[in-house]
Amino acid sequence: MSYDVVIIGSGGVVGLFIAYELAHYRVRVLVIDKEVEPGFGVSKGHAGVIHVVQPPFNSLRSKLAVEGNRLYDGIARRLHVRIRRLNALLVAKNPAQLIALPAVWLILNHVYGKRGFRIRILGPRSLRRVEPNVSGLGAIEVEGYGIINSFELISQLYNFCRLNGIDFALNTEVKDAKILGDEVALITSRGGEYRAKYVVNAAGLYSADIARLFGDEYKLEFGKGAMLVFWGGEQVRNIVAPLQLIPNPKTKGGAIIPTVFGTTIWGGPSLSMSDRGDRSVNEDDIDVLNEKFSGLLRNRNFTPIKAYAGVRPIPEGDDFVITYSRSSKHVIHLIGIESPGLTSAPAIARRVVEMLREAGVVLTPKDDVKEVDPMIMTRDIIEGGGSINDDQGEVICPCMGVTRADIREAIKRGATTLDGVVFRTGLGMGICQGMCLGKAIKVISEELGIDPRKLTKLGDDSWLVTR
Amino acid sequence: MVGYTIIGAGLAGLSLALELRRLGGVEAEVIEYRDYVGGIHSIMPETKGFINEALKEVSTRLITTAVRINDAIYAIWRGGYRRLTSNVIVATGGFRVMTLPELGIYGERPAGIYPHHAVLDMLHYDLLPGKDVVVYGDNQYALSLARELMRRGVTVRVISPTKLDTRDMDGGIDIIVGRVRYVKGMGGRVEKILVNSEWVAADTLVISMFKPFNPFPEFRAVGQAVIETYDPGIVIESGKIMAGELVNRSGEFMVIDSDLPIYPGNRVSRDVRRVIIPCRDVESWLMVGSTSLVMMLQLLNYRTPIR
Ligand SMILES: Cc1cc2nc3c(=O)[nH]c(=O)nc-3n(C[C@H](O)[C@H](O)[C@H](O)COP(=O)(O)OP(=O)(O)OC[C@H]3O[C@@H](n4cnc5c(N)ncnc54)[C@H](O)[C@@H]3O)c2cc1C
Repeated sequence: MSYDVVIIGSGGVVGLFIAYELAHYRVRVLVIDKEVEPGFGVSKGHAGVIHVVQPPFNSLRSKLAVEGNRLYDGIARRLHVRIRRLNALLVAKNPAQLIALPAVWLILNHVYGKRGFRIRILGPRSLRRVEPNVSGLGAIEVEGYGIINSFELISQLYNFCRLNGIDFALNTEVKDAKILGDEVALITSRGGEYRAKYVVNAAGLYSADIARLFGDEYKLEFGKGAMLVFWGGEQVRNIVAPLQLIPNPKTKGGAIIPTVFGTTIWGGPSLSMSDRGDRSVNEDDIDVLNEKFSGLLRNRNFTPIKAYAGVRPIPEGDDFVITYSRSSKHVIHLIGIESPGLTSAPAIARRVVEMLREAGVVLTPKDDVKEVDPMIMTRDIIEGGGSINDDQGEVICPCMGVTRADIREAIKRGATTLDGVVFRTGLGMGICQGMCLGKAIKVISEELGIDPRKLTKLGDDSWLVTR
Repeated sequence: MVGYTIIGAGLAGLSLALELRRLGGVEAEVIEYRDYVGGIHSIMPETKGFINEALKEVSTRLITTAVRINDAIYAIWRGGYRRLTSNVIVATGGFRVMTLPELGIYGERPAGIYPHHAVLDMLHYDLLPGKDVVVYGDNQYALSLARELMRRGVTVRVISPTKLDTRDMDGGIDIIVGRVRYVKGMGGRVEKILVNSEWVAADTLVISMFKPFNPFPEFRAVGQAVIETYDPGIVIESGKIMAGELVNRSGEFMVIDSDLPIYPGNRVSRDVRRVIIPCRDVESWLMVGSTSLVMMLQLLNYRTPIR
């Protein structure tokens, strides 16, 4: 099969955004991913924050984050994805930090303020008003952040692409690549071969490996971030982190983050690690989170429901690398798209499209771009007072109110696994952490028309039940 | 006369509905999320009799679920829904399963980690959670689930943080006293489980450690939604007490001055004359064998001033 552009690793938010941009033009595009569904790579483990300026402030990473941030409201509206704008607060816990607030303001105002993100100093009373549950003497408030339902984002991007003629080869790993004059041949794990005039390497943690297939060497290190998710009530209204005057690499970064689901995430600092496949969370990771965040809250009576970890690819030089291959302008590498890759993804995609154009891809706009429908769940219909019929109201997950009809809709939108349904519906994400799974496994299998023994959590050997 | 909607056809909900009828013909509809009744007790032989008796008199509505949607709570069934309002609804949702972070279980999150109730449903649908199962629990529900899995040919080990009384069991259950600390996966499925400092090979981890849980705090609750008891008799009793409270003919109350949590509350109707005081830690003091000591105070001679 021959394509104009093949994107490797389009299961991630970056690859999907590139495909989304290309879906507006008359080009034949294929996206290849080794996972069974989009969003199962790095993009599975993040916190869903739309960031602002990033240190170092003159980096490409910071520039693209700011550009991406500004694009998100429009994208969320168009794709019907839940997004909420909020601020970030750096909280002063002791008098020394309180005294330092004006100096911190001055520095941050220089870098943030210049790019249009307003910075304010909050005294104790304002802090109390803005964040009743946060204990502190004062804070620096930065405007312009956002939180997004990243699962919905991935799902809607995927559907937009499918609707607009982009091909997907999932569960397919790129094993080898050859540049043959003006064409690239990609050999996959399934024994297939794809031809493409242009290739975009957006393989996340594996981007350096893919680059190597083209003779390009990059060094990646890996950093793990642990997250603890809480149920029950609002801990904070904005993104809240302790102010740190003297950086301590062990506790740098991370924040208390509200989510669009009503849960709260304590996101930890990035710790270096050697094994990029390791998503485990250890007692130490949780201790670090407790040490860092529990002192910030007045009421801490919230139930932790889940701990998970995400792995970031950290490039040499600590900046995104977006470049043509040394051997050909027909290959574009995206290396080390670490945090805030979600934020930057729309801007990265536009940049890549420009690079493709410059390399010779003819991009003629389509005049019949189709739009995606919002995912309407049974609970939305009930909330709006609408009527439900047939078996629409058969509830499978009581905590989140997910019904059989919702599962059917998730499948229509591309879910083939349990996690695919979970991402699209929120099933099992409540406080009981899957007391409904027995019923869910049965119903998802029925709706997919497969034996429950064939259903997996997320592909591979992640089988769920036997007989 | 009011008609009550009772959420959950477990022992507490059935007992409450039954007693409401018996006390004065008060009608109640018990709604149930599952397509079978009995909840956590559905596989316990000793409660079958009570459940069958109750079903003769009580009307239950299966596959009908109470769901919170923002600030409102609805009963939803296949082809419709209605909003649940006022104080006529009593949540009898029962225990929830404790989360991995609450239990201090770290590691990965592969397929094959299931809350107790998910496995009850699997068994109901003739499915098995795995072939080599670790059940983590310190109570008789863990044991009964282990027994049921063994009966179906599954290899089972029970891990319990405390020593378990297995006198009534038909033997053969492998029990390790210890704490589950870490889970490791392989190819996406549970591979081994760290118990204390030793790895146990298994493909499945079932969590059978519980906490009372009322998802609808705006409604009154009975049974294991509010009381940490592992005694089915007490669950049934709590339904009866609540029925008495709801019907309360004399309209007289008394207030019990107590530091200990009291079910159904410190203010109880005079008609009922019984309360439940769950206190896990004093079992040795009262020499009762159950993990959760529940004391039934006969209030006949126990008078405190009415406030
Ligand atoms: C803990 C953590 C928290 C974060 N929080 C935030 C945040 O709040 N805000 C924010 O903006 N960013 C955040 N990030 C960063 C963000 O998640 C990533 O930058 C972003 O998801 C990267 O997307 P991606 O598409 O580059 O990578 P991925 O999602 O990993 O996509 C790459 C895809 O390539 C596929 N692939 C790899 N090799 C091959 C091959 N040989 N053949 C076929 N397919 C292949 C993979 O399967 C994968 O699906 C966070 C990251 C971490 C780890």
